[in-house]
Amino acid sequence: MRRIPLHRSFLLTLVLSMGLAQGCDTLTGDGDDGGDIDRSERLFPVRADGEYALIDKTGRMVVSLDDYDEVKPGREGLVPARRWDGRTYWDFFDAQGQVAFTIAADGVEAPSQDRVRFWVDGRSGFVDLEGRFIVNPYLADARSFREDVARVKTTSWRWGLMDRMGDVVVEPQWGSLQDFSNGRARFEDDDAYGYIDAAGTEIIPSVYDDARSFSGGRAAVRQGQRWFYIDENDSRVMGSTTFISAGDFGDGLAPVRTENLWEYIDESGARQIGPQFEEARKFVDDRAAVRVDGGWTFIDRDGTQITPNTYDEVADFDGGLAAVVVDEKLGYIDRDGREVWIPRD
Amino acid sequence: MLRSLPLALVAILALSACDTLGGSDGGSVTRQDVAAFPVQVDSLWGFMDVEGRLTAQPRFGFADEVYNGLAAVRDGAVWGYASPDGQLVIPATYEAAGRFTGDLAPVRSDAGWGYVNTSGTVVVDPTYDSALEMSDDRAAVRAGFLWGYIDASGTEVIAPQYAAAGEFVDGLAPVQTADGWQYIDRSGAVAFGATFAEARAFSDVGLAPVREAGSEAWKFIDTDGTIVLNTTYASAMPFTEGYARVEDGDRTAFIGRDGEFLIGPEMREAGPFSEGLAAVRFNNRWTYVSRDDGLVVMSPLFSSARPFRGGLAQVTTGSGDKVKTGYINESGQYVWEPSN
Repeated sequence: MRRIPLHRSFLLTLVLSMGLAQGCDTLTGDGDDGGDIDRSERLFPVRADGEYALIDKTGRMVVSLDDYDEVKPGREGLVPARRWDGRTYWDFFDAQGQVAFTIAADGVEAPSQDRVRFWVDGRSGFVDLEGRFIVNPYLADARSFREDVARVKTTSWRWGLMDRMGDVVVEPQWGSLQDFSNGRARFEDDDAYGYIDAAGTEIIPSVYDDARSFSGGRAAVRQGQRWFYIDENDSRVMGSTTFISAGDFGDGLAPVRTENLWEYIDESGARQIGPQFEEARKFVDDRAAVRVDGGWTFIDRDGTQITPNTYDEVADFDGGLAAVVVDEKLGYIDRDGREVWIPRD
Repeated sequence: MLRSLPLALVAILALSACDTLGGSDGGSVTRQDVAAFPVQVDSLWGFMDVEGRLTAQPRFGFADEVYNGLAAVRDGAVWGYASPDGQLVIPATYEAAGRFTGDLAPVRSDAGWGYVNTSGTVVVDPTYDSALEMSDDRAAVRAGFLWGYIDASGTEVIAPQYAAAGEFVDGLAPVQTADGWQYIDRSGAVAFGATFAEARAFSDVGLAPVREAGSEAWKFIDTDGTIVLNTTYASAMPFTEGYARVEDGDRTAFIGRDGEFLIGPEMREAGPFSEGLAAVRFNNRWTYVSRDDGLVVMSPLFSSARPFRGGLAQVTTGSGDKVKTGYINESGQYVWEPSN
């Protein structure tokens, strides 16, 4: 058995990918596959005595993964874990700690919309949640499904859109394209940014110098040095208010910066939580990760910290828990700030 | 030259391996009956059965696939034929040895290429400059620069007269004449008048890929010589089990009889369908796709992958001196883990 030391890079990867995964756990098995399986609960990867294990959201260890050398944050009820047996296999563990299906692949993403993006030999494809191929691994690149489409590069370096049956529904044409949210995806054209809809129509032209994803019906965009917000029809909101920096709306609040410190505003632009944070992220599950005096913690909607600011890194809440890292050790806290899994190796 | 000929033979065999598959009903899936499969252990070759059990202790320098109950084997520098239990049925006396795809197999000695039968009796004296494997009771032979055909009794039924000669399938073979490529029947008579810039063999669905003079695109003709399917592709291979490979630049697709895609031009390379599966390469290494839906049936990847035959496919992993040969079943499970 190969023992892989727990590196900071693992933790960063884990924590960062958890951050990317947030907001996607709302699908509870109402797709066309495996519709009777409850995917609202899932397990969480931890380290215990130098080995991987999976815990439930109460912090109880459900299964020990001694023979695995990588575990990724889960989604849609399933957690991918990698083992080596002559070649690389990924087992997908369900909420009971059972292997739901296995695929042989170099790498996988967590499930999204009943599809798993995997890659082998440098090419991406998709399987369903029983491990059956939906799209052969021919894609030069791909990302997981969001809002019923996946962005893919077929045989060129440009991105197009694929539906869940594997049909390319919008031909590749963008050098840079982000994931869909709120029915919009950011594209780039000659260093300028706009948004397409799911049909591939450039519904908001590329007039912005920078732009963030839509969230809560708003997107932060930049023209020149200043950020402001637009709605899905490209109408500017909050009048003439601009910011030095602006983040994404979540739970009706968004982090913005007009001076050195970050604050939170509501959709009218009114300040709700005063400027006091060195860094501030989007609200998820009524909790937002913030950095205060060099340490990370979470605040609730009143701006009250739910834990001491003692963490080196944190991921957004996802599935009821948030991953936290202190001294390169991974732990989890619940929404009340309790450490259901005390950071350890 | 001496060393390159067996390689050429293997290349030809790869094409002819499919002609025993399928019926005349158009793209049916048929499993061949294969007695044994060559395996390499500690650098020597023996045979296993379909379950992966050794049937003959490894003793040969190389063993080819088993056809008609016999496999060409190399013992030192010379070739003979062995049965699945490892008996050297036809002594190793030849410089090169082809497969028993029919009653006869081509062998080369000092004097040239001839044919032996499964008893080892020389049926065609080694008088030819090239000799290919049998299909449809005919085998192409070359005398000087011209190709003709022998039949299963070893009689030269079509005298050498063609610049090139393809294999017979369902009574028709493409040959290159001074006028271009034509198709002949088994008596050597021109089957239909049409002449093509390039032509390939017919297959189980009664279609053959051709390219007309002045055209870049390949088309398919039926056994009357009528063009029944147009493609836009720069190359097309015969149909096997209902699907044909077409190529354009560095991309390969599988099309059905109406030209519809089973798999779009997404593959870098592909082998023919056999026993419901085809080896394909999307990037650097090979896997297999199912004829039922065109989807990968397993995700392990191989450095090379042969067509399924007798329920198994021979695959290799690694390359160069580290190449290992194994077998997978239709589920993608190793029946024989790659070894060398």
